[in-house]
Amino acid sequence: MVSVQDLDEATEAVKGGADIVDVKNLKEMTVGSNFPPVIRRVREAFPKEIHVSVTLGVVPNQPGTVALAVYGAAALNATSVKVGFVNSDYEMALRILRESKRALEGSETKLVAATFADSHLYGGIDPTLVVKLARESGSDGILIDTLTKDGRNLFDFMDEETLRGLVVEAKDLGMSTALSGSLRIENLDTLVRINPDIVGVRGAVCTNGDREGGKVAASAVAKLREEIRLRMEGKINVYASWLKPKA
Amino acid sequence: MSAHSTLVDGTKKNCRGIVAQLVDIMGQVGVGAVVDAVVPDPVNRDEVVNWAKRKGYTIVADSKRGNVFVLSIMKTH
Repeated sequence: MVSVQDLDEATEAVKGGADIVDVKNLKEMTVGSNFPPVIRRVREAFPKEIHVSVTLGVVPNQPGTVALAVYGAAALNATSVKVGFVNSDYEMALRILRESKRALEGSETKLVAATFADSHLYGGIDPTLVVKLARESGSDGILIDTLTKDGRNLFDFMDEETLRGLVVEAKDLGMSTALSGSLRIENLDTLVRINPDIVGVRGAVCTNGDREGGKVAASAVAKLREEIRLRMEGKINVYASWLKPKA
Repeated sequence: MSAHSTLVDGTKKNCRGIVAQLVDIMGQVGVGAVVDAVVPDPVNRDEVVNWAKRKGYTIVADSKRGNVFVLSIMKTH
């Protein structure tokens, strides 16, 4: 999954082999929502097999407002819509997700509950509650991302074992699982060991590795995809870093 | 025991992984049914095997066909 800001970037992502383009707007926080015409253009540019997800970023504690935005994502034929929480307590997040699910009745758009691994820095909701939130709200999937974009990434805030446990638990419940948060090629061994269904990137596939100043480049997407393939097919041993030399 | 097999094709693009699709299918089929899973790579093959063991299902066949793995899993309870 490649985060894109416009149709040009989406086209580069798909050319490079991305299965999912995630439309967002970096000008409205690091994970903000984009405008309906941009989402519509991206959705209409690609066949249904290319999934177009929409991020609502960090949502306000207003279930009606969020449900209406979720409804909008469905009206734009988004494959999925991600609803993220920082400044919400558990009960509010659950209420928002349940209303969001109701707003998607009759549509094919999937609801993804998102928490942030670094939410403790913002006084936010415990990210490990994401599976419970998704299960109790009837969400279709989970995403764990980060808000901090200062060079630290997902694994600076949550360890592999915790993430693997959450991914396994969500898969056992029939959910889609996604991990994101300034992920880089050097994280791929760990990611493949965890094996989420979806790995979300932006900086790693942007020119100069710059998620804000750079643009998504097809060549970088293709390289990342190939590196993933090599690991999934066992041509690169993702357990090598676990092996310790014998005494 | 059902003679029919149900297929989960993990080589097709889907936001939900093979395990999540198997969870759905196993919820729909009866005890004794066999579900075939086509799995594109060793990482997911191992994950499906571990999932089946954890759930107490029986893997009745496990083979490599070309570039993919085919696992036949029986719902035993």
